[in-house]
Amino acid sequence: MTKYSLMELWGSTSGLAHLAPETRLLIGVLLLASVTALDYTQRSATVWGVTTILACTLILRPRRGFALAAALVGAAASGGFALTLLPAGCGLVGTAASNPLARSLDLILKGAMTALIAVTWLGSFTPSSLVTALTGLRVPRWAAAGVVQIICQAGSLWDETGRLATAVRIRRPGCRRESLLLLSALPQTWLLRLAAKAERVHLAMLARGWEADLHPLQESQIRFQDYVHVALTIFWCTLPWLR
Amino acid sequence: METKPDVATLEVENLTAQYPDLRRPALKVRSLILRPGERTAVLGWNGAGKTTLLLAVAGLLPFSGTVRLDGQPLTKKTAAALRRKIGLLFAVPDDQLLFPSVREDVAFSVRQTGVPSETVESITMELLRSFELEACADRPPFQLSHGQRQRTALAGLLARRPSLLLLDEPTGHLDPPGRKELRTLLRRQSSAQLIATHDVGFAAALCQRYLWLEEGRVTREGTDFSELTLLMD
Repeated sequence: MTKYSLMELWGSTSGLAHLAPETRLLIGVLLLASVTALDYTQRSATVWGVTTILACTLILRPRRGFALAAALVGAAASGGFALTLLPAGCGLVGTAASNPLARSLDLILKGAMTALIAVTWLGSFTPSSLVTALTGLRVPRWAAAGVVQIICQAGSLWDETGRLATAVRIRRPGCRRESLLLLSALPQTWLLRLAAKAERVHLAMLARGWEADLHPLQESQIRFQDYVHVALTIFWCTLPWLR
Repeated sequence: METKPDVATLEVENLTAQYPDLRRPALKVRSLILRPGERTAVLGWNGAGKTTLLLAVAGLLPFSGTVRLDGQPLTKKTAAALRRKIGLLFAVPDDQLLFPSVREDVAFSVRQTGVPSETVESITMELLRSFELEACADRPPFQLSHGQRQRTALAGLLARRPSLLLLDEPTGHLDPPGRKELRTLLRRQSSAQLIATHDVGFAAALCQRYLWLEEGRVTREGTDFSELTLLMD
């Protein structure tokens, strides 16, 4: 089984690496907004969505494991909401837009596509180029600093969770009672570790004089090709709304 | 780094620190003076209060008593400013690496010294070269080996040119060549150093004197590290 570190999500061999990070982020946000806003009970929207996902995957080449996991998590999360839309014994009745089953499928598809697009685009950045993009797009520096901390600490927590999982595998419980005992203790252990880690990082931030004010190491240059790509994306995103 | 002659880098008087969940003070140090360039080892068994001493001196733990840094008293108001003169190396370096790449982490500290922004990159790269981290400049810190992470954390500390270095178990996960390298590096620094460690050999080779802590109190101090070998056995 392949084991991933969360940091491997970043810096996939992007086919758009020649664009400024700001441009890549803007294009990603536009596509993400469109994919989320579309109504997948319409066939044209579904075709557009699937084409967009395929194109992004081919161009940006995200790591397969992450892309698949993101799609599944997105579908599962939105599937939970979708269940609430399904009344008991529902069927394919009424128009597609009013049919609860169609609405639920629309929601699941939306969740999967949104998560897939988000992971695919995030993966095309390195954390450093993401900082450049955020500050270049005039996102407040404290907010960019928050994003950076989320990225760094999430990576660290991912590894911590991996270590906990390894420990569980090594101390494989012998019987069902032991398994239940172990499983019930895990969330508490994980939360305690999380709290201890957060406390240590907080002390380290104080010690290092952390100020939520980030400065990218390199300024990027916006060129003609960046404008062309943004214009093409805007055109592509308006297509499903044109009749 | 500015140091006035005759002014101790660190002065501690009647320092007491207590964790809220413990009845007894975790630390009770009557007096400790560290002069510029002086290196003192803080030794003791696990739970003796070594880390507590470093955190209290850095103003990261509530304490009673007096702590002065370069003659200035450490209080709630002055703590943030005085911490700029302190370089604290945590026992787990991961906790203090706050940026997604080695280069950015060190650059953050370089920028804090107030150098012009156009020179930050070149100073950072020079530091990374001197710490043999140039090859992993763009890698996320937690993909590195423990030794490399520790060197990254140290590079970040030394970039700020602190007058006081507080090092918590700096040899914790280092192999013998790594320890030797660290010793050489610390010898080159002009900062006063307070080094909490279990490694008596490392302390003896580097420090001029030692404090032995037991239950938060200094029970022994001196310059002859051979006394400790018996104690350790």
